[in-house]
Amino acid sequence: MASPKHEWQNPLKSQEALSRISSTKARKARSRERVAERKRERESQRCCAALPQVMMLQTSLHKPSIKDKDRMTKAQFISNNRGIDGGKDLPQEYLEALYDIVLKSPFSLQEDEDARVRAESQAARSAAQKGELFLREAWKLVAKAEETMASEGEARVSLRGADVRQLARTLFEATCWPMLASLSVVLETQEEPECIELCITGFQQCIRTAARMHMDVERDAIVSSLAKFTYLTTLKEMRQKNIECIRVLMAIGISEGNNLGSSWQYVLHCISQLERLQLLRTRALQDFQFFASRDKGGAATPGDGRINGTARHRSYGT
Amino acid sequence: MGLAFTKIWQRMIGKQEMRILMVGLDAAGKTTILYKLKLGEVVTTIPTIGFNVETVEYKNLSFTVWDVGGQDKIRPLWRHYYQGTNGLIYVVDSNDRDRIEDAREELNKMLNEDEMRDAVVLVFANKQDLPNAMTAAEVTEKLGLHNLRHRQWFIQSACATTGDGLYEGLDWLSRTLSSKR
Repeated sequence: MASPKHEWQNPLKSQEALSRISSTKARKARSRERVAERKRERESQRCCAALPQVMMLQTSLHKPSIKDKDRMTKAQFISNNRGIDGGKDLPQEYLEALYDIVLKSPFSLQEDEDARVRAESQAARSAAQKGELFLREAWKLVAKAEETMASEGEARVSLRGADVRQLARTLFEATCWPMLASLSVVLETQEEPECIELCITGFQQCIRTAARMHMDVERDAIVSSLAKFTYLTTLKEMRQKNIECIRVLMAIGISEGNNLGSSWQYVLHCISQLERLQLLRTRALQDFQFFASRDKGGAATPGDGRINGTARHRSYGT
Repeated sequence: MGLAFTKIWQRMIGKQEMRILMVGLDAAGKTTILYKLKLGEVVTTIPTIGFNVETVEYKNLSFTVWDVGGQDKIRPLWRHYYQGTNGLIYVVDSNDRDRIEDAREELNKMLNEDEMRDAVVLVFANKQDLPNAMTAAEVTEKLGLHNLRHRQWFIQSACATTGDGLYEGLDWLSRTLSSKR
């Protein structure tokens, strides 16, 4: 066990040691700072000295009107900078690094950049070029949005969930027309099953949204468009995607029936056309033939298909 | 070499596909024109909410015509069909003197869009069978077509119900689009 003298001495000693250490630390830090400051000064002096040459290098490397063979080489740059640091040469590695920086990242002003991008987009003719520009722009937007969100997120956390129905309505009002246009063009022109499935699901969701928010014009537009893609009302060869559209249109009638309002006419029209096709398949008489024959006193013998067909027809009407 | 050959072959027998956008104010007769071209007969139409799309084959071209509804509420839909459009058919009701100014505004708005830069314009001065209809020259003046710069355009007086003028318009469209290729 340590004596009381020791007990007192040790803390004192350690205190002293600590203070000594901390003062050494402080001194070291101070001297480091001074070194750094001097270094910064030296660097800024170097920068100032090299600045005119860097500007020339920038022009020589990045001006579009200069031919590639006339551009400044690394060796030329180094020889141009001979003796600029108060009569001495700057270290070669330093100059080489500087050259690489300017080569990789040209200095440019935002306005110049904007003008360049605009000129590029106006010059773009082919679809591939346009697509690439579009992607680049989109990624820029994404990056910018992320940046803004990150900086906003720290400052004030007041992001609100869209629990107000009115907000969703406004959002859908703005996006519904572009969605309808893209979905319809893709559905008309593409044949890939995956693509078609996505489009039809898109239609379904759009109709659901419009119907539930009682947006009549939008709902009518989307339902009538989907009904057109069933090809039941036109003279076109029906394909798998059109049959899929019929299926989804019927499903919508069942699930959104209460909110479809005037859009029912498109659904009902398709059902009636479908019915007619089925009648044709069973070789039963069509309505106008049926009524004509009945007027004549039932000259035609009634077939099963016809009776079933008309009965079904009536049941859809109610 | 193979590619060049394919191109020649396409020119000789294949149909070039063209995307055509047909717009105009409501009740101008767009849907009637579309089905007159497609089926050769006049169908009863209801105001188009949304669009109709049909493929019309004419000469060596296959036109995919998108007829987009013209009511003011769905006019915002038009611009989403501009991308990739080779030609624009703008249908005007020649009898509707009150709204010709609206028609001019909508047309100008459309032609100023960047995506419509390369599209050629065919104007149908429709409903020529009505007694008070403006002539094609009058419609040209009222729409300000002479002020258009860097644009190939053509106006054709037409009557959708009889089919007068429709094929003359398509003729111009196919000639102009084929020579552009």
